[in-house]
Amino acid sequence: MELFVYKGEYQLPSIDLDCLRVLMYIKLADIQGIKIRTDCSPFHSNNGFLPYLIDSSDNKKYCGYERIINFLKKEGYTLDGSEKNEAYIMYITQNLYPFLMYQLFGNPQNIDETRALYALRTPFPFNFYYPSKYVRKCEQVCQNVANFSLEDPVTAHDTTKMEVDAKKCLNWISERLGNKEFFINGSQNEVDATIFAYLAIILKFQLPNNQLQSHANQCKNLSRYVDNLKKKFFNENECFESEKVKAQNLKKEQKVFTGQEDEDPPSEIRKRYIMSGLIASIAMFGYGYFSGIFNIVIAEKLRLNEPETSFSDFNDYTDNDDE
Amino acid sequence: MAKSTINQLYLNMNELDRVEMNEKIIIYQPYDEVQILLAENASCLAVKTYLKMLNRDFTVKSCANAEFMAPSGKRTKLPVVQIGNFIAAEFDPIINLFEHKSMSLTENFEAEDKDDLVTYMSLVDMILTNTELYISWCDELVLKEITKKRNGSVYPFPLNHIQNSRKRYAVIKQLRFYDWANLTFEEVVDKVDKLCQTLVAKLGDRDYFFGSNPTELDALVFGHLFCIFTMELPSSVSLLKETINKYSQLTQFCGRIEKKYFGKIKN
Repeated sequence: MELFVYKGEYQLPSIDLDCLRVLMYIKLADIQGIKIRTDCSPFHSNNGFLPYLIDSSDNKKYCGYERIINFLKKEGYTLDGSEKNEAYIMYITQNLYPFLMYQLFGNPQNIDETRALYALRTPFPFNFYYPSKYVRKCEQVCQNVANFSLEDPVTAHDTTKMEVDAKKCLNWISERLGNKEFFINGSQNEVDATIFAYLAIILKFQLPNNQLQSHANQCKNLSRYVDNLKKKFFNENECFESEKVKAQNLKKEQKVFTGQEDEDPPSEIRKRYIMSGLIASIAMFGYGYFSGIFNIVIAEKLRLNEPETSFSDFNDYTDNDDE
Repeated sequence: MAKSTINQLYLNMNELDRVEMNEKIIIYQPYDEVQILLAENASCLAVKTYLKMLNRDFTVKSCANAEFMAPSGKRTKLPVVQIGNFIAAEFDPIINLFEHKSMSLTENFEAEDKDDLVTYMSLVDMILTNTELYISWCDELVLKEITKKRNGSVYPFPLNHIQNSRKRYAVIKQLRFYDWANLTFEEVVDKVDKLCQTLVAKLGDRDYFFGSNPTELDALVFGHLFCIFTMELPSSVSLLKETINKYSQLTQFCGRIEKKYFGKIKN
């Protein structure tokens, strides 16, 4: 079997919610023999979204979280679950999903960042199209849950209800979780896959505006839960972090020490001033010269030619000097 | 933690405080016999059952435009409930109101039971409402034979077609949001089947889901299942009814609640 997912970022195995859910389910159920591939495009998926799974025995394709999980369950890869699983998953999805979706694809401050994340993982020329499918999905969410459109001005984005629901849900998870390792009775369940995926995205993504992250950070046990599960089930080379993000993180850490890493030393600034002044004056004089606002005439040539009237004074002066 | 501010915001204390609970309760809904659709009927019945469980009297007013009176609500937007100045649509805000006034059925519940209640309710609400909407608006036969006739019945000629397609568009959009629009009928029934198993496991051999006293969940489940049982549906979708009928605990459960709260009307 082969599973196709988006490549990860920020030390996560994948950047996408559903991909993370499936990956975690596979780890929780301890399914061997699934090859995880990140070199893929949503173009080959039936619904235009990753993840999808190809069953190598009959080449059948299963797209989307639910279909994949149902297939895996049919194949016998089940987790000993309580019957509450379904209800919990539904409750969490209903409360967290809309606001997370809005944060990722609706908030104008974050949209560039998230789109770039998805676009970088989609091959050309599909990278121009498929990330926008998520934005359209987010538009549907907003219209259904909060009655506004993403095309409305930002001030009309009424996310209060979504936000409150999501934060209440985070509190609920934090309370129920306590210090346990897994969500229900300390044993691995399907609901853990869902909670891990949501929390991982909320806690690990670095977005310009991430309200849920600051809220989730207040509940210490949530980040502990995510870190524990990540360490337990995913090894280092399954998680991914790009050089750019690494550099950013490094910079952030340095910032803590010195306080002003962003500012250049004064010598750099002076150099920059001089350089820009030079370039500006070259441009100005160049323009003036070529458009004929002034001429540069070399004095020696003038003496050979017939003296022009306008330069007579100058000629007189040089003549006098010779004498 | 940031919790207190959240609760405050969510319940919107001031507004709820001002509601006078001894005022008359009026429920607005579409015409029972000719207009109402499966999902709307279910959510209306759930609210009525809930109020009966609370021993509150209410008046039902039928009007064609009930749906357009709703101030909020994201699914069927029905029924619209008026208590004095307080107007709300759908099941959730009404439960919130009674909970805020400490008059709900689950006042003395343990935290864990309350969790179960909330999660099961969101599961039941989502799956059964979606199923009903799917049956009414995505099954060709039901759409042609029942839904279009009923929904259009209160409008004059050209308007009925416009209203039908407008509403169908809205419903499909809703279903697409829940990833339900592209499911086959068998997959839908499969989901209902799974839900029934979960509910039966929760119910056990007790009278109600949480012991011997009714709760919001009972009202909700009864509202939905009873409507699916009693609605006349063409044979192409009878599989749904049969699936639920397999679970005798659930049919008995519905009969029990019907007898207790609605017995007088029938006799």
